Amino acid sequence: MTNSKTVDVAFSSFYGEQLDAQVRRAYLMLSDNEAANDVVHEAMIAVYRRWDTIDQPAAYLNRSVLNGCRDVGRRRNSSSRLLARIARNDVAQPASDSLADLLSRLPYHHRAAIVLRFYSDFSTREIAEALDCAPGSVGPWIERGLLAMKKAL
Amino acid sequence: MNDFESRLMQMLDERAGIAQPHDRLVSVIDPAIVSPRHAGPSARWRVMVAVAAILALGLTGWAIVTKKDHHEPASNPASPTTRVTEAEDASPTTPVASASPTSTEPATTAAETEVPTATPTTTVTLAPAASSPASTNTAASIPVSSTAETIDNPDIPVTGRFQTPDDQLAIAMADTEVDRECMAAKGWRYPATTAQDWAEFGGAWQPDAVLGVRGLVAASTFGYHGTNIDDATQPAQILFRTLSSQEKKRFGTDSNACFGELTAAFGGDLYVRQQSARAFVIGIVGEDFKRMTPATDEVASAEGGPAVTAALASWRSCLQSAVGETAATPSEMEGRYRFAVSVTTHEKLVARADVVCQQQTSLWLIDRTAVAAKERELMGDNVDTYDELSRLNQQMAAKARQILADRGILVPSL
Repeated sequence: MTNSKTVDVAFSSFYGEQLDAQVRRAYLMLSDNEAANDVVHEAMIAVYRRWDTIDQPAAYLNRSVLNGCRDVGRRRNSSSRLLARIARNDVAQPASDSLADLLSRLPYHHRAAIVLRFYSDFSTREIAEALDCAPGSVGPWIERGLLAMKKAL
Repeated sequence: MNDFESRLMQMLDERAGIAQPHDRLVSVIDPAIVSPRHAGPSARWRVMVAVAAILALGLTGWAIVTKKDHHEPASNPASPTTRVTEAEDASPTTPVASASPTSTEPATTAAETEVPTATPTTTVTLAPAASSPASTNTAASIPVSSTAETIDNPDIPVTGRFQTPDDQLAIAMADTEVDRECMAAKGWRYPATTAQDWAEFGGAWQPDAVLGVRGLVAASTFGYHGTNIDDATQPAQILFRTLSSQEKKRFGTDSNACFGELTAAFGGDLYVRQQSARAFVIGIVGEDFKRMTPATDEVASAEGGPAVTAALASWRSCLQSAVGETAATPSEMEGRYRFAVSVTTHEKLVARADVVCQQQTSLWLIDRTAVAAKERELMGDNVDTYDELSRLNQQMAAKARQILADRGILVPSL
């Protein structure tokens, strides 16, 4: 990686273009502003380090952020019981946020596919690329996710 | 597009609008910011700018980065004297306070230590967590010899940037306490996090290629359904979700102001330098991008080196002897149980044996030593940043313990 001024200028531009949308999408995945910012910035650093060798930095960033969201989500699942206990013991039960609740209940791939389709307006091919999966998987994930949300609503 | 999908799009747009992107470009592209001791006036100026930017922009997200670094399983000393039991009375009732909560003793460095040799263990005894020895700085308490799988810089801990689980817990607790105090002064009441909850948090499973559940309290309480209370360590997050939109705005303003007090409590410069170095190092070694970065493959290969391989073999033998089952790694063992619907008594027994076997084989120390050495190699020309992060992590832990000691707060045993 060349830490030249040219690279910094190019990356800075890329950073400015991507930051807002990436954080907002990560927020939809995680429902946690700080975690979303952290995931995006760790991915940004990875992109910056490999700026000279990555052909499609935006696609790389998409995958990195989504992978980060998946890891954070996995950790969080295991914490939900204790969170509930603390909340029950010490403060009033949090008000339900229906969309966040519904999204958080979906399996990772279903949730990611829905966010990418209905928030980021990605095509099936773009979603498959971002989730590193076969395009044929995307449709069923979206369908199942929507079905689960409809049922819950 | 049907009505439901239209509604969904609208809801997603509205919800995404709540997010607040934090501009941290300076810490992404400028590693020099973390090494002011090597820097001239220009770099020092950048540090000041970064501090000012963080405070001015209210980057509260930085306040939790330390907690998110809790990826390393613990290795508490195990009691060799108690019998194996499946009885529920083996579960702890209350965590034991650390014997030396005010300790600021630095972790052992590569110059002072020897890498332990893992020896097969044929018997395991499971002490109730409540009667286990108080948690200590594992890196400091286990002898480590110098080998090719250790860091060659005598000025930093053999485990490099990896903080002991006890240090990680101390930092999380200090963060939370300073924030709670500040917010309480502004009229916000936070739920109290109990010592038991902290102990569960500190010893819970974290994502890792090799290591799994790390504390007896967590293993006894949750088995492999371990908790990772990222949010629970931030009572502000819990309270926040109970608030109205208007209250949330006021809360956000107060929270941003308290972040300034948090950085000040840790020493503003120390806090910023540690966070910046951590972000830069993690970005290079790519913990969270295991499938995408060659660097992480190399780190993984370090964990398959002779020292770690021997330690894992000992751990497998130990666990097999104790509970009649084993796995390639603690991480794999965790994966067998954690997706079950509920925790069983047997699962808790296995998890406790797992933790004890990790302790008896010094698995955490051996693994982190090897990984740290590999990570340091991967830093290439930026190795100074890695070493700086290692030192800063020690300083952060010492400061956190001081903050807690000043308030009479004990770090619970894991």
